[in-house]
Amino acid sequence: MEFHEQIFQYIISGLTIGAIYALVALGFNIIHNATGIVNFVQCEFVTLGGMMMYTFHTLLRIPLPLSFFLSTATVVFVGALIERGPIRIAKSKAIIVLIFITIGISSTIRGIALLTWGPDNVPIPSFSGEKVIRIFGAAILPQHLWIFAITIGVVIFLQYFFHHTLIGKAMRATAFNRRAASLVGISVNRMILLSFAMSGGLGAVGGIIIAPVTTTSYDTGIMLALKGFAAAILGGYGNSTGAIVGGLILGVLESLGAGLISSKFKNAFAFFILLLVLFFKPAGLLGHGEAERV
Amino acid sequence: MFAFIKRRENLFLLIFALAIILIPLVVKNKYYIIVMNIVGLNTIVVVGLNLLIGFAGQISLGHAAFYGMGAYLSAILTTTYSFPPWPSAFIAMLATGMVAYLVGYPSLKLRGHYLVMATLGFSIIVHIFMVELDKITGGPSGFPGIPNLSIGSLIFDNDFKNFYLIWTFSFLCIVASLNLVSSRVGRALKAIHGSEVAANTLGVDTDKYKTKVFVLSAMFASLAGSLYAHYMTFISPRSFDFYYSIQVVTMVIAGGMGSVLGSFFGAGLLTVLSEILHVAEKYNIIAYGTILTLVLVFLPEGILVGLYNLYQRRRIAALIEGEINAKS
Amino acid sequence: MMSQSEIILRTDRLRKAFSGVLALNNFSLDVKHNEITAIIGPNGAGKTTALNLITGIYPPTSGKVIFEGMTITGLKPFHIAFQGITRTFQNLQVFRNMTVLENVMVGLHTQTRSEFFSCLLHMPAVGKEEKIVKEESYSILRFLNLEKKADWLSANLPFGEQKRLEIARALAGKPKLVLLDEPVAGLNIRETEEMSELIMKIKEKGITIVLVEHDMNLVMGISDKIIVLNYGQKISEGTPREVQNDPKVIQAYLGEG
Repeated sequence: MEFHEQIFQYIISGLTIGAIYALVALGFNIIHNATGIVNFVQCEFVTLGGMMMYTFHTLLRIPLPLSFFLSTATVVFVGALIERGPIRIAKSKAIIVLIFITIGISSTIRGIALLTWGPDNVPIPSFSGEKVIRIFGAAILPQHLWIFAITIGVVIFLQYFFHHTLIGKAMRATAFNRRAASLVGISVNRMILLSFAMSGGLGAVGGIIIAPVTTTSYDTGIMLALKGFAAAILGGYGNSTGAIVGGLILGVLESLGAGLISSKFKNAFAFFILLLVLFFKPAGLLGHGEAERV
Repeated sequence: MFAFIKRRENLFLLIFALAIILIPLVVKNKYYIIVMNIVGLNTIVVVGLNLLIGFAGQISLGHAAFYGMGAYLSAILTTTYSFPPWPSAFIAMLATGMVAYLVGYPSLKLRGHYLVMATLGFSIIVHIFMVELDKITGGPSGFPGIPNLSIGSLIFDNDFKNFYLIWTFSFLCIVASLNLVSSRVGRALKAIHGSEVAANTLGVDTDKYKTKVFVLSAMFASLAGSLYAHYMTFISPRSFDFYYSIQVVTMVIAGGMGSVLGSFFGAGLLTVLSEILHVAEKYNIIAYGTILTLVLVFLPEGILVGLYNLYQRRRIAALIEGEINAKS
Repeated sequence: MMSQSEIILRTDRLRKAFSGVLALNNFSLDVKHNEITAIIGPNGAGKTTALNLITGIYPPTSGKVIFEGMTITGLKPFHIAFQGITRTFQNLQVFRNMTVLENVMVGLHTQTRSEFFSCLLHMPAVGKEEKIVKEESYSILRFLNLEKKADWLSANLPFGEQKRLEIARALAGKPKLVLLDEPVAGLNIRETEEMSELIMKIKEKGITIVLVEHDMNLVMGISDKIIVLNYGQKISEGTPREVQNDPKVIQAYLGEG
């Protein structure tokens, strides 16, 4: 392969994984905007998406589209359950405690996943076969096209949801100013519940569409989600356009780094970038600074 | 250093010191001693981490990296380069402290919980280095042949001798932490946790203090790591992964954020639990996760304090009920 | 040592914009040593913004703050505390996780020196300092009538006493200037009277006071000078009598109590 074809290949695979990072980053943002907490269960939302897909489609032989729906719905339900359960019941509402609770829940779910599915990687079939498509010399799998298509679809849906539906606007209002939102009759608790549910959905979709490419296991989600978080910070935490931009850029940089510099340290790249962003431009590419009103 | 006269915890410290002296003379089962040694090492890490979490109110998910840095730096300096062990441990502490400063200072200046992500990212990078830089670290198969520590002609080459070594350091770390907590600096840290903006307006340089306590906690972990390396004489990246970071955080929470002695309790309880579960290692993760979640949801003050408060409330409720019944 | 009627604090055309919203514009203020200067105005007029700019919570968009002849604009809050300026908060920022005594002891942070290393090892100097800090803290609690509750967890104090605690904490560091942000908000009539007397007692100690308040009786009763803000602009300035009779002030408060 020619050098420029190689680069193009790296960029394509980078964009592919970047799309997943973008979805996860959006999930992180939604919860953070609504509650101020960093939701570590996002890791397990991604894992569960893939693993439920394995259970429904591979093990139970349920047709693909239905499995997709069921898997996403399951994780949405899990997200809601987490909010209704531990988060709502928690005696202390301090943000640091809630963040720790999400760390604990994340570990618990991971432990359950380990016991349920074992430690090994499991395969998920691609949505429409494995026939390689060649574009400008780069090899693209049909699954990659699915990833792009579904991600774009999700982003368009979110755009519509948040800007053209009443509920979406209510969520934005709550994120912006909780007190004002409750004063105009928005049920803040319901918005928070919704944000967890949506985050679950986003994580699950991300996990499902990448699973055929990378296989999945009880702890796939951790790396994906953490890099998704790095993407969110890169793009500007709390900013949805930033999440998408950050995700794609992170994916491409990681792919180029692994291909051109060293593949052994592939996983480290994303976190290097995270640290660099934190140190030099913590507001991210598209973000504003965070100010605290006294 | 010891300010014995004025302290509430004196009685405990006395019993603690006596226990340290007596246990290896009374307990002859090597396995129990080994478990206690691990508790001792974890105590050092947890006590330091508690200063960060319980007092300054910051979260770190990267202490496995600092623990590992202490271990690997000590191992490499003493084995590959034949440096003397005690200065190597000291150098490891300083190096770890400097790295903690580089990671911590930018993260702690920011509003919000950026330290979590920075420490998490950092510890993943460190772990990858441990595995991939195999020429220096021995890679995934580990680093063998680390010498024991010694003082003069006394070599710490068995579990009982290491018990004294490790627990002396644990004791000193606990005393130092107790000192810090009831001092000007300790109050400043608690103030930061209580209201960072108010602390600032009272003259507390919050960025500097948060960074310093983070560096201090990293140095405690590094010390524990060095002790671990010279005790085990063999280390591998598996001991210093993300799960260890979660374990020590769970120990801080279970013992009670903000209680120095609680940290010791948390370390002890969860290390022993981990050993019991070692039989079925795959239950480790879910056990830690569940304990962490349950304690945080229902007993955020920690297991001991939480149960004590629960007991008090029940007693008061019973008393009130008794009075109402008596009146009617 | 400053003499009476010297200017201890001056702000020069302070301006603060928050993403397009101009919270404070062209705010110039002269505070005379050992006087009580009050800043009043309807909600959202920019009073707390002014306090926050003076204490360094955030930097001004433009303008200067000068304290005892030294420019302190843009200094971090902890620096400003070391210069001798302390404050209380509109939304009560008592350290709820600490006792009453410990709250006040933190107030003495600027008067003490022990750092990490000496505290870890509990060097003799630390022990001596702790004794002094404790004694001074008790004496301030006595001044504010909180001595009996020294070991109470501050979160358990009734509201009015928490407000007094915040003032005790602010006074501990021997400040030259104290900024009180709505000290009587939420207090009943008797508590307000006590607070009024307390502020006078603080003035007697030689401390300069800047006060942000809504309670007109209090403000008119004890202030030496009043500044009136509306929509981020200064609309009047003078003695209580002058301000009371200023038609611009009456208009701004039309409909307000």
